[in-house]
Amino acid sequence: MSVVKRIASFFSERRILLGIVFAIIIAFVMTVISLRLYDLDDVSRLDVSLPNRESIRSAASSDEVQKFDASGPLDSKSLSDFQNLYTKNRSALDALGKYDADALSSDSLQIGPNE
Amino acid sequence: MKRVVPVIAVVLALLSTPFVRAEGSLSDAQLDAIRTNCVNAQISLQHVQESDKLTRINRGYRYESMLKLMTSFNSRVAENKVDAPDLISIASEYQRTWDSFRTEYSNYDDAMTALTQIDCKNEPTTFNDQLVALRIKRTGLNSRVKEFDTLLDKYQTGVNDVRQAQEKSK
Repeated sequence: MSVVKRIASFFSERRILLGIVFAIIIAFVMTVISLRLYDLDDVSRLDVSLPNRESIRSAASSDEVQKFDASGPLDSKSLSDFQNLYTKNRSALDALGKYDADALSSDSLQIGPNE
Repeated sequence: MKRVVPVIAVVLALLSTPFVRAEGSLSDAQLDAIRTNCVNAQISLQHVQESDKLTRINRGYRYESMLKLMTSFNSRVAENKVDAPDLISIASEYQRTWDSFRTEYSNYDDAMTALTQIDCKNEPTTFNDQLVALRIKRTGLNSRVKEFDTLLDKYQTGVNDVRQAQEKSK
């Protein structure tokens, strides 16, 4: 019983210190979990805010696409608005690279013939 | 003795097959070309990787915008009680294609990173094998892009049908 009292007294006298230690442990665990999630998802791979990705950040398209409201009438104006947004996005997609095979050909890598 | 000789011949043939294939896949000249130029090739691959990443970011942004547009348009079509089941199925297929594209790009990017880190001067065959595998993954991404284009064309046709139906109903 005296042992239990002594332990209780030990923790009671150091509540603030223990609270700080506990908070640090929780923060550490949460940070590890967050970084793990960041690594698992595409986020880390495509994060343009990283310091070594200035060139990508500046080249990535930044123009905001207007939203099309999910509710409302389906009249000629709304159809025209939708078509404008759709065509704008489609044109932007057509202008982007398509992962063509040439970039990895032996000729472009200068390592001899293909195969 | 007469029976043993063919058996030994078959066993020897089977044992030598992998070596014959290994030599047959890449000539000495090709191996030398890889050893000589692979470090520069790895630098080129890093540039391709950066360029691909930019394409992935921009395509991802546009594909997601298109998906939001489709979802909103489908909701509006449903709200106005217009019958267009094709639009919903195309949007679902588009979502599946988008999920596959994301996964395939991640696999491709991992394979690219691995290829740029190989000690290619000492392992030219491994470098070549992984390059061949990477090309297959890239072809897969190219096919996905074409798949997206086909789906977007189909969706456009569906939208045109809705427009015509609305004009007729007036």
